[in-house]
Amino acid sequence: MRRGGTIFWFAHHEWRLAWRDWLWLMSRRRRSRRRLALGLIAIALFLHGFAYLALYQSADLSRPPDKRMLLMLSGALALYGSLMLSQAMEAVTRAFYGRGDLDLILSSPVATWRLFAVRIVAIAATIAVMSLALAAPFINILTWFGGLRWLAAYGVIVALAMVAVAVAVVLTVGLFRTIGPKHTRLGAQIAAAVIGASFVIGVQLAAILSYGTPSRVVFLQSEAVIRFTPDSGSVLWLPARAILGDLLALLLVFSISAILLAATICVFAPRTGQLVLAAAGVSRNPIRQRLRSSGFRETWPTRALRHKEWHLLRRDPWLMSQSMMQLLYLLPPAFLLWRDFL
Amino acid sequence: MICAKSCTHAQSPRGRRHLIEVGAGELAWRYEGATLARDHDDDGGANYRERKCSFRCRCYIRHRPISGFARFCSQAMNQAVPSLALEIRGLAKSFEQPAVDGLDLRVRTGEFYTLLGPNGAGKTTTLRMVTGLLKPDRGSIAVFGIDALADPAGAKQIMAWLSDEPMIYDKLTPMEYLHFVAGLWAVETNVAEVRAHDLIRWLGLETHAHDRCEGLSRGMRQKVALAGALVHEPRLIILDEPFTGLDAGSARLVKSVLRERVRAGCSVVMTTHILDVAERMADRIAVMVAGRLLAEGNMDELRRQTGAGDSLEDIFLALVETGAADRTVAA
Repeated sequence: MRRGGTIFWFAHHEWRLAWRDWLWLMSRRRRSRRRLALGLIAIALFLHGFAYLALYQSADLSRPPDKRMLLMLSGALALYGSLMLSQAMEAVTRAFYGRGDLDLILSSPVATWRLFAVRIVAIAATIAVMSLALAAPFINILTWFGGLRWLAAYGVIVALAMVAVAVAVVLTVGLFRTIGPKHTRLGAQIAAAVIGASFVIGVQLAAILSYGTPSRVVFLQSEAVIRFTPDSGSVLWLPARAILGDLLALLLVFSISAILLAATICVFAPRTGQLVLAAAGVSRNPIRQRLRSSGFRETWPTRALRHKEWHLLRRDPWLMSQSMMQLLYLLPPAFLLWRDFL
Repeated sequence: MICAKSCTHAQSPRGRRHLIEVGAGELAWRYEGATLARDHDDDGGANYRERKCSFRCRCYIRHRPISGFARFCSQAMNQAVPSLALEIRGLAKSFEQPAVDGLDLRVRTGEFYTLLGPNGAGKTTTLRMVTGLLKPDRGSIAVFGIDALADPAGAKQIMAWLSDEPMIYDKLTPMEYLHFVAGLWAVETNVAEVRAHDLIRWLGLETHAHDRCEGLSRGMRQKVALAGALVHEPRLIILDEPFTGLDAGSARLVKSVLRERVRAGCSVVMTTHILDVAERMADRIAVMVAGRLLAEGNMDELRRQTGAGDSLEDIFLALVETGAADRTVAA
């Protein structure tokens, strides 16, 4: 047995729990296990088919990179990164506010920064795995069309996950410091929703305004945008170059991301215990609602149901952020319709 | 301070045990590195009597009265030892309203102390501040003389906390859970192993020792959590409503475990809504209302203080009514 309370000991503990959870999910019932496996295969095939359809008309993917290609890849990375940052903020907020086993661990004399360091790394690993699962079909099809160099994209996705988690930790701690533990949960969830949708919506709105089409590709490939971007030798294109198999760029991107995550852990993990304690103090506090009506009113069942749903929506930050995200995604088509009818 | 004073005992199946520590007002019997039983000795170790082992075995150990050097050591150390297991001064915590309001509380070493109060009286908030799970707004907390706010790790090392809804990992077995908890308190692996086996046996969990906790009943989970709280042999055990959801058999077992620990020299601070348990088990009882301590003492002292009926229920209800009336006047 490892010595208790070390980083490796916590990592082993977390890994054991995660592994058993995964095994349990996979081995509940033989019938459902088979269904799950078939479902996963079907999803993988569908995503590969979708990726094939999206990419088969692309220009020669094995050609040397030009500014246009670098811009497209950087745009795709920014889009993916914003979604990863959104997920990371959700996960970091849950780590701060979810009690789980923290009562046990925080009441022990163990140095809690080690636990939080492990948990931050675990969040990064989870985000990376989820993102890789979604990106893998596109990377595989790109490798098929353009050669093995595209496999470097896997490394860039992992690096992006590390950056996303580092930024999420900084943003969440920043929210704690600025708006306090009481409002951080709601603030972080709304921020996560806005960050997740902002890039997609921003580019779409710009495309609609400039070219009258919601296509992000048209916007990113336009001469106006290309004219404003730096030369192809710029450091800005480093992640895009890494995707294209430039091993030095990949090494740099990966190293910088790892250093960023490590620095974030070193700076913020020791303070996380205090933040969790502050969050615990808030979460035990009951919320008193203002009295709006003097009593019960006669109503119809459908109206009562609607009333209840509306109350729950207003009082559940997570539900609110998710609903808000859906609404945000509706903005570009709404804007397009409004523009067409003018 | 080590005196290596050997002791005699008759019925132990494990062989010789040795009294190896005399000091800090505490005497410990150890076997192969594992502390078996501890006893606080107010009379300087002069008068040892037949006593029961804590949990490793059920045998009785008869100790010869200590004399000479050992007694000298014990007396010398006793002078420096805090006789209070827990000392709280002017403790306060507010959320929107004050939850704990200038609380003063003292728990003696080797005492079973019960904290009573209606819902929302601030009992759990107090205990969470003692265990370092909440930061107080002001006041001080000392655990065996260690300032829990200045040196939380030092205080936590000798303390155990069992909440009313203890968290047990569903995907771990009771034995794995105990190993994990022992690791948190840096208990040596071989010592932890022995203690975990003993606790599992003592709490009647042998048949489920290697089953995952997800399949255990509420009572069994509570017992596993209790075993987790005892595996590092704390000197102060803090329990928040440990009998919630337990059947009669499990409750009796938990009570016997707690009595045993107190007999072995531990101090216990417990909150409960079961007044009968408090009346039977506690050396002293405190009643909290609206974050303040209204009364404290043993049953006779409480009767004198309140002038209410004989039972703890009468005393408690009288105190709660007084507290509520005071609060209304203050408002």
